[in-house]
Parts: sequence; structure tokens; C-alpha cells
Amino acid sequence: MPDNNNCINCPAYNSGNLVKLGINMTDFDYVVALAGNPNTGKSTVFNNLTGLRQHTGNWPGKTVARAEGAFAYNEKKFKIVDLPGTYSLLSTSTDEEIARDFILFGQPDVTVVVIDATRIERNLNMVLQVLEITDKAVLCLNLVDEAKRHNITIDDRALSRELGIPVVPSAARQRVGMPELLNFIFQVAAGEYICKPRRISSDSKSFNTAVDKLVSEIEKEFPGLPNARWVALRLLEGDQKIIDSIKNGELVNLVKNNYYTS
Amino acid sequence: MGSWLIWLKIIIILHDLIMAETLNPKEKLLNTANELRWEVGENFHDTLLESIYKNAADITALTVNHDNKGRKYNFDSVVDKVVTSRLLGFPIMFLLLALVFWLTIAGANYPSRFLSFILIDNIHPFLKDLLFFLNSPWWLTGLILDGAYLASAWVVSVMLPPMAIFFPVFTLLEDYGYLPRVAFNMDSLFRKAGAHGKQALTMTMGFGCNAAGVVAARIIDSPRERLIAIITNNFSLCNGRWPTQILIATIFIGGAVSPHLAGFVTAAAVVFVAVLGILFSLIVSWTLSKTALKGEASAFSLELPPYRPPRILQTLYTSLIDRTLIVLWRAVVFALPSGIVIWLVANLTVGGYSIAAYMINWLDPLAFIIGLNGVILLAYIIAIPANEIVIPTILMLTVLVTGNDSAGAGAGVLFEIDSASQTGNLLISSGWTLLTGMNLMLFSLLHNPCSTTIYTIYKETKSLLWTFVSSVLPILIGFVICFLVTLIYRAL
Amino acid sequence: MNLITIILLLPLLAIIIVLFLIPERGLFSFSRKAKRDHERIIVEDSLKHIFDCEHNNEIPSLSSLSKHLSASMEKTRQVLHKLKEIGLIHYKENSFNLTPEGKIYALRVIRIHRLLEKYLADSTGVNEADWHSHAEDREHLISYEEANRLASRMGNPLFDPHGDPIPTAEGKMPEIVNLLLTNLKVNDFAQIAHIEDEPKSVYSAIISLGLSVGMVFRIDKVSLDSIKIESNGIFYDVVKSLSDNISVNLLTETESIVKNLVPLTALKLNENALIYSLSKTLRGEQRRRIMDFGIVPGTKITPVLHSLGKDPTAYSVRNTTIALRKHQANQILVRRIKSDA
Repeated sequence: MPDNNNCINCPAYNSGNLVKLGINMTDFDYVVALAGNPNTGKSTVFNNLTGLRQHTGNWPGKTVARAEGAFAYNEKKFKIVDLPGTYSLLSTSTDEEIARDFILFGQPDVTVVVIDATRIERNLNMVLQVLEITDKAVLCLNLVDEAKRHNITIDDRALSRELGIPVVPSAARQRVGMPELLNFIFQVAAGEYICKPRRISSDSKSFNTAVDKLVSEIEKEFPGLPNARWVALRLLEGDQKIIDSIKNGELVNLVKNNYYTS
Repeated sequence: MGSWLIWLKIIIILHDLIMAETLNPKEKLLNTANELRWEVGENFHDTLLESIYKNAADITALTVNHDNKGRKYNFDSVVDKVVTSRLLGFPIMFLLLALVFWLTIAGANYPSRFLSFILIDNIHPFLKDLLFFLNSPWWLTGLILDGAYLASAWVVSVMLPPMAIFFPVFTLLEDYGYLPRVAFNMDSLFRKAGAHGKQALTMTMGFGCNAAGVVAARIIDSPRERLIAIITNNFSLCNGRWPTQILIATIFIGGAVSPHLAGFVTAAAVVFVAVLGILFSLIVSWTLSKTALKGEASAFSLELPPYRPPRILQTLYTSLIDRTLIVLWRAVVFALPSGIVIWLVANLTVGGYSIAAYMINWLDPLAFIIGLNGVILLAYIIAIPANEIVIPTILMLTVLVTGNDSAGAGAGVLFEIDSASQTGNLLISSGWTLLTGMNLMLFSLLHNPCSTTIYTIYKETKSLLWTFVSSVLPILIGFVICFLVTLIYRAL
Repeated sequence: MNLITIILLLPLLAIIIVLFLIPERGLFSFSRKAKRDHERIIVEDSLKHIFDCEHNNEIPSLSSLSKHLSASMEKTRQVLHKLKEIGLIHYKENSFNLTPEGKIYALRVIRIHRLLEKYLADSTGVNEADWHSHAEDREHLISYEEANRLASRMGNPLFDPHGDPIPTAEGKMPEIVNLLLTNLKVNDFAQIAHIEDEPKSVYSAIISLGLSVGMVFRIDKVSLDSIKIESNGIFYDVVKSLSDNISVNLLTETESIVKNLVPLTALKLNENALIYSLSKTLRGEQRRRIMDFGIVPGTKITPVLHSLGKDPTAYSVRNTTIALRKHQANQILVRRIKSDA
């Protein structure tokens, strides 16, 4: 573990956790996770970035196993992990468990969320959940050509402001927007772009009181934990994996990694 | 005394629990979380999702402008109105399906012949000559070329072209977004059978290849409905069985009526068997959902994605790689050893008779009861890797048993005859009747899935029990149906 | 007896002996295990009964326990002695109550029972009327660890499907005071919070009447032997014997909101509505899936397309099209709105 505060540019500072998740981290500088709803062109984006050809289609459940690929940009080597396409990260289904555990415990350097520009509202469900887990995210606003065809106009700058992360309009099928996406992936990974992710706010008083109280308790116990709010939300949902990670100290590792990067 | 010890142990644990009031900070944290959970109540998840969507709606309102007056926007809903309309919904569905099948059957014919010409008519004799030239012993040539090579070549040449056409066309419909509408339309029928509307799609996929149909059942996310779709997929008459149906129907059903009706009756007979398969698929689905799978959880979710122009080249490429080649590869892997077994059974002799002859003799009594013959049963046992090689195996075994050397590439070698009437003559002269023909058509529909499919079922369900059920259930039904038909036929 | 017979018999005898003595699996230990399991059932059922009595501020008696166990007085007395010996109850002169250990044990049994009911409701297709009896059968068979694993797989649920709280793994259970249906006045709006699942005949009667936990209703008429309630325009006559087993939460919302609610299936094509609530009978994975699609309270929803068989129907939600079956849509309450809101 390097001892300076400039570690953002060090190769794979959290490789330990990633190796545990089955990622071979030799020879890679950064890890990128690719998340999103089914049927948003996520696999097409993956293929564009890596040059691999994976089948994409209109059905959920297409991405069978966790696909991995690699690419180089600005003389840095990126490993990219295609997470299962899911509508949410909150349920007990295996797909969703894989996706949320990877983003939480794997601590990828960047999480790219691919969304369908014609169905933004539904897709934001997933985006807002991801932003509770990680600060380092890029939104790939895919299928803007389809949106245009349907007379949907999107103010991507306003969207970026609202979400606090870079937003890249793209049409992955036509390879539109891929250079910009690469650039933002690099900037976020290298710490040149600091995200200020939006957190979920609620109108429910009892919800807010409970979350706030638990967050302060968690921060007392794990100072510096980057995603105390997510941990609180999961505890209130009774997520056994989080309960166990508190008991066995796995959560402390996340704090440590974060300490060296901030 | 034994039970005393156990009670004591329980009491000690309970006592420790009561005493352990001093908690470490982590446990205290978890305790706080638990108390808060009771306070916020059961609706936490609901509240969370409500809040998320409230945020999502706020953000969307600020950033997205949707001009509803645009003309093109209505395109999707117009198409949807048409494909779900009472008047046009079903006709469109059947027409598209018929088109897919016509493309597959008509389109596959030439490449199939071409492959067969290359692999079987040319390369096979060439390799045979080569081995002969190298002084290879006859049994080695037989094992490798007449056994392993020939069976695999057969599978490739018969299986590859139809799949290479069927799957991409199917995938194009899928990528365009039409297939979810089929599931949407068919759901009311399948719901009554305790199944999911998407089973209509896996079933259709099964008409191409059952193994692919079983994999496609992944699109069904409810465990019970998915299992039902997997178990009943074999009732879809797959690509490998269509030629058998057509050939046998031409010889025995078409041959039994006057020539100007023959074509129509033959086609009707084949369609009847396919529809019978759909019927069985629904009946078995219903029965399973009411009995063995009653306790499994059931759920329904279906999103109708927007129509999107499919990317034809990409689709051709990926569906070829993803579906066709993977299935073909699995089939070849199973065909290789089974080709060797087929050859051994036909060529290994004990006491002057081949093993096949013994097995046929042994199977004959059972076969007689269900109106078939030992040759057919043996063919279905040893040609388990692919339904495509059942007919060649039957012909080879028939020649072997009858000693009729007028056709074929020599004793104990798979072959097929180009003309249906010649094949008919060979079969009829070996004692086949209308009953044998009818029952073979039924048995071809109702028997265990091929080994590729069985293996795929295991990979998908990870359960030996369900693999066993899906393998044995159809063949049991097949025995019963063939037996009943035989009873009635013989009584008439 | 000749030598050959003996040679044949000896191995047979050996096999039988081995069969009896195999630890854990042998017939001997099997019979002991059966006895122990039987003992476990009696102990656990007794503890539950005593706990229930104490929880409801009733005093458990020898006769109430013997009735609960359907055992003779003599047998029941033996059971009580046994419970006292192992330290689960205090037992003096025909009055008995739980020790702290006994209380924790009872809570564990209740936890397993309610977890099983939750599991049966959320993750299986078992009939609602059979949840209780299925859980009764299985609660003595599975170990506490297995039950805890089950709990964590389900996200450590708080309530069972009848609305009863599930004690935590640490043996904690909150006191929840419910209002009974019989305590309500005419024109009160309330929501069913809990339906008592014992006795089964009463429970089945309530279920077959069409009532379920989470249902919102209005008291229409109260008479001596029955209460008439109205929910979504449908009237239900709840006789006294049933209404005693139904607990409710009083709703303070204004009358007009609740009054205009209709199930989603009542909408005509292209009629706009706002989702008011998802019934509690939409459970488990099914409920989560529907909510993930963005079908949550406050959402605008419009039926846009009937399938050929009229069921399922496709709804436009948040600019996506989601198909729902009639029986799912029936469990979603909406309020019609005029134009695009």
C-alpha cells in the first residue's frame, strides 16, 4: 500500500478486494464496472470499448456470465467488467446481488451506468442506487438517436448537474459518443473529475429520521466510510451480506482503501 | 439420557444469550439498526422505492422534454394496435412463423445437400482410400471413418444449415421487438396452462432446436414457469425430426391415399403431429403446475420494449456464434462417440451375429406391443445424440437385419436414399406397415430428448431430478400413446 | 442346521446389527431420534402455549395446556415436570410461568414458525389457508440455524404474512397494540393490519370472504352480530365470530381520497390514473419486480393495450410499457385523474 496521498494514479490500489471477486488484476491500472437496465445497449457499449462481440438483444438475462474485457487509453490499461443487466440493485435475486456487491466491495475506479435515453425516468432508479454506493460514476446516455426519433430532447448538461456526474450522450450502435465516454472514464478514474453524486431524498419523516440516525451511528463506528448511507439503507432492508461484513470487519477494508485515495 | 444432554446444551446456550448483555460496538450498531427497522416498519422498501422514483421524476421533469405531438412517436403504438388486434393479431403471428419455417426449410435444402456432397460423398471416400492406402486395419477405418466421422459429418450437414437460417431470422424478430408482443398475446392461453406467455417463444425456438429452446427459457424469470417451459420444450417438434416426419408421412400416409391427394394428406399429417406436440406441451404444463410444481413460486413480469430497427449484419454474426455454433458444437461432441458405438453395434459380431442383431431380437417383443419394431427402438437408443441420424441408423440396421444389399454404402455404414419411394420399398419389404409408420411419427414426437438437450437441461436447471423427469416423461407418454394406437389399429 | 446355512446367516446377522448401531443413521438411533423429535414437539408446543397466554395477559392452566396438546391431565403434568426439570418454567402448586430461558426458547419457536409462514407466502405457491398448518408441521423439523439462513435469504423480514411481528435472532419482539375491527364506528376508514390465523376454520372463512392484510375499507353498518364494511365499492358482511379475529389500523386520511379508489383493472383504455397503493397480497419477488418497473404509489399509469385474450393488459408507466395480468392489476389501487397531471 503506497504511503503518499497521490495514490489516485497508482495502479489498482484496491486490487486485493478485486482479486477476491475473481478479477485478475495483474497488468491493469484501473477497473471499470458497467451497469445498467436490461435492453439499454449495455453490451454494445461493452463491445465498442473492448472490441469483443457479445450478443445484444431485446431480452433481459442476455448477459449470462460476468463478461470481462480490457482496453487502453491515455497509456493506462483498463479492465472492464460487464455486470448483469438489472432493473434495480435492491432485491435478493442473484443478478442484483452480484452487481451491487461488485460495486460496493470491489470498489471499481469508475462505474459506468448505461441508460436508455427514451426511458430516462425508469432508468434513473438504477442510477440513483449506484450513486448511493459509489462516488465515481459516469452516465452513458445511450440511444439518443432513438430518443430523437421519438421527439425526446434531453438537456444532458442539466442532467449532469442534477446527478453530479459526467453525462455522455451516445448512440453505441453507431459508435457515437464513445471517445467522449472514454475520456470521462479516464478523468474520473484518474481523479481529474471529482463527482458530487446526488443522494436520494425522501419526503417520509420516519424514513429520514431512521436513515440519519443510523448513518451517524455508522460513521461513528466506521469513520471515513464513503458510502455510510448505502450501508444504512441496506441495514434497514435487512441485507445479511452487510450485517456479516460489519461483524467480520470486511467493511473496515472499504474505509482503509478510501483513506488512501482521498 | 441422550435427550437430557441435548436439552442441557440448549439451556446453556440460551442462558449465555441472556447473560451476554454487554455488547461490543459493532453489535450495538446492528442492534440500533434492528430497533430502527421495527420503528420504520415493513414498508421501508416501498418507501425507499417511492422516494427514488420521486427523485427520478423530479430530475426527468427538469431535464427531459417530450414532444408528444410528433408524428413518429405514434408509430410504436400503431404497430402495437395492429399486432394485438382481434382481426389481425393471430394471422400476423402465424404468417410470420410460417415465413420463418418456409425460409428455414427452403433455404436449408441446398446448403445441406452441398455439405452432404462435400463431407459425405467426397471427403468420406477420399479419407477411406487414404486409410486403405496407409494399410490401416479394417476395424480402425470403420471406427474412425464409418463410425465417428460419418455420424458427426451427418449431424453437421443436416443440422447446420437450418439452424444457421432459423436462429438469425428468429433473432431479428426478437431484436425488432416483435417477440415480446407474441408473449403478450399468448399469455392468456399459457396462463390457463399454468405457464408464462414467454413459453410461446421458447416453444417456437424449440421448433428449431430443443437445446436452444431450453436455453431460451432463461427469459422467464419466475422459477416455476421456467421449469415448466424447460420440461415441456421437447414436445416442440425440432428441426432434426421434421425430415423424419415428412419422409415417413410421404411413404406411409401419403402412400395410403390416392396420388392426387397424397401431397395434401402428407402435409396435413405432419402438421397434425406438430400440433399434437403443442397440445401435449400445454397439457403437460397444466398437469405439472397442478401437481409436482404446485408449491413453486410463480410470478409474471413482461416489459414491451420499443420497436427498434434491427441491425441485420450484427445479428447474423452474433446469433450464428451464440446459438448455432454452440449448439452444433455440443451435438458434434456427442455424435463422435455415439458414431463409434453405432459402428461397433453394427459390426462387432458374436457367434456369427452382430450385437445389433441380438439387441434387435431382444427389443422386438416390447416393440411389437407398441406397434414398432426392434430396429426403430435400437435406432432411438444409439442415435441419441441427434434426431437427424435416426433415419440413417434405421436404414443401416434394416439392411443389416434383412441382408438386403440393394442399397447403402456397405454393411454397417450409415446411409440415406435420395428417393422416398425407394426408401419406402426397402422398409415395406422389411415388414413395415401403416401402423409402423404412424407410430414412428408419434414416437419421433414423443420420446426422450436428444443427449445435447438432456445435457443442456441439466446445465440450465442444475438438477438431476428435473433432468430425469424431462427425459423420461415424454418417452413414457410415447409408449402409452403408441400402445393405445396399436390396440385400436389391431382391433379395427 | 448345516454349515452352509450358518455361513449364510452370519453375515445377515452382522448386517442387521450394523444397521442398528450406525451412529446418527442406524435404526437404533433412528428410534431414539423419533422419540426425541416427539419430545421436542411437545416441549415446544407447550412453551408456545404458555408464552401466548402470558403475552395475552391470560393465566395458563393445566387444563388449557392439556387441551392445547390434546393430551391427558396426567401426561400434561409429566410434561410440566419435565419443563421444570430442564429449567424452562417455574412450576409451583398448579401455577406455572416461563423462566427467562423458557421465554427465549418460546420466542425462537415463534420466530421459526413466523419465518416459515413468511417464506411460504413469499416464495412458494402454497395456498394461503395452508400456511399455518404447513409451518406448524415444519417448525419442529428445521434447526434454528436453518431458520436463520432462511431469514437472511429473505432479507430478515419483520412481519409474517398475517401481520404478526417476527422475533429477531436475538430474541426481541416489539409490542404492537392493534385495534380490533369490532372497536370501529360507522364511517371510520381503516386498514386491515392483522388476521389471526387460528383457528383455521375462522381464518379460512375470513380469507374466502375476500379480506386480506393491507386492505383499506370503510365501516358501513354496525349491528349486534355483524359488521358491514365497504372496500372499493364491494360490501362485505363480517359476522361477529370473524370480526374478533381481525385487527386494524385507523386511517386519518380524508374520506374523499379513499372513496375514489378503484382497482387498476377498472380503468378503460387510455384512462389516466394515479397509483394509490399496492395491496399487501402482492408479495415477495412479484411485488419487488412490479415496483422496480416504477409502479409505485404516486405514479401516473394508463392502460394502453389489451392482449388478444384481454388479459394481460399493457400499461404505460414512466414512458415504458409494462404488461400486467388481471390478477396482479386487481391488487393495485388507483385514483382516476382527468388530464395529464
